[in-house]
Amino acid sequence: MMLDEQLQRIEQELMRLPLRRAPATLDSKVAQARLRASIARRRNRMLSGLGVVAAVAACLLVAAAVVDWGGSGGQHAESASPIGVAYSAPIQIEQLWSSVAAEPDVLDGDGQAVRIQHQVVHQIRWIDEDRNIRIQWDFPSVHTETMPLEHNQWPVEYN
Amino acid sequence: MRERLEQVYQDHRQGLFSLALAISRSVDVAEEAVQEAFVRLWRSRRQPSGDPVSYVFAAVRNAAIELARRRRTTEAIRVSLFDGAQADPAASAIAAERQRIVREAVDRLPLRQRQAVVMRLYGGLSFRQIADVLNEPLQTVASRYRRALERIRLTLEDKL
Repeated sequence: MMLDEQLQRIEQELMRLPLRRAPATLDSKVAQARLRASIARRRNRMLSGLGVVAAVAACLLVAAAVVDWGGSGGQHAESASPIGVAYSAPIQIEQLWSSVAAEPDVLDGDGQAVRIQHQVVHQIRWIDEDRNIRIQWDFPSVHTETMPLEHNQWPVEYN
Repeated sequence: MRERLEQVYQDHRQGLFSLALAISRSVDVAEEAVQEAFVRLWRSRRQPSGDPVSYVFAAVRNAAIELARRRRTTEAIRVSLFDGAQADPAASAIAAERQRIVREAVDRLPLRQRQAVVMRLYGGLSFRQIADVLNEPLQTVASRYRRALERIRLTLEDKL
C-alpha cells in the first residue's frame, strides 16, 4: 500500500474514534459568558458616563463658587471661613446597588429559557455642609435578557 | 457580530471543546477555556477581519493555553481526547487493540501536531483556517499535519 493511502486510512480511522463529548453544561456556561460580557460592557459605559457627569458637576460647582466670590467683592470666602474656625471640606459619597435576578421562562413553542434581569443603581451625593449645598444624582438602569436553554438545564445559577 | 459568534459556537461546539481539551488535557479547564474565550469575544468591540471560525478557534486556543499554564494539569490526571468506549463494540480484538494504539498515539503527539489533527479532523477546519489560528504559513501547517499522521502510522507499525 502506498504511503498516501496508508495515511488516508489512518485519517479515516481517526475520524471514526469516539471523541470525549463536550459536557452538557458547556451551553449554559457560554450563555453565562454572554451575560458576563454584557454586564461588563454596560458597567464600563455607565462608569464612563458617570465620569463625564461628575466632571461637568465639578466644573459647575467651581463656576458657582467663583461667581459667588466675585458677587460679594471677594469678601465672602473670608467671612465664610473666618480665621480660627475650622472649614469642613465638601464630601462626595458614591454608592452602587446591583442585583441579578433569574427566572425560568418559556419561549414560543416548547423551548425552555431563562430571563435574567440585571438592575444597577448608582448614586452620587455631593455635600457641602458649610455652604449648605446638597446635590444628589441617581442613575438607575435595568437590563433584561432572555436566553434559550438547551438540554433542559434549568435551574442554572447566574452569579 | 453576536449572531455570527453564536453560529460558530453552534456549528463547532464539539470541535472547540476538543481543541481546548487537546491543549489542557482537563475537562474542567477545557470547558472554562471555551467560556472564557466567549466572554472575551463578546466583550471585545473589535470586528474579526478574517474568517470568524478561525477567529473563534484562535480565541479558544489562547484561553486554553493561558488556563493550562495557570493550572498545570499533572500527568496523572491528564485525560484523553477520546471516549474510552470502542467505536465499534463488535470489532475484533485486533481491531480494538489497533484503536487503542491510535488513541494513545494521538494523545501523545506533540502539542502543535495534536492541535492540527484536532482542528482538521474534529473541527472540520481547512488548512488555511488552521494556519490562521496558529498564525503560521499554510505549508507549515499542512506538513505538520502529515507528520502527525506518519507518526501515528509508525506507532501502529511498531506495536502491531
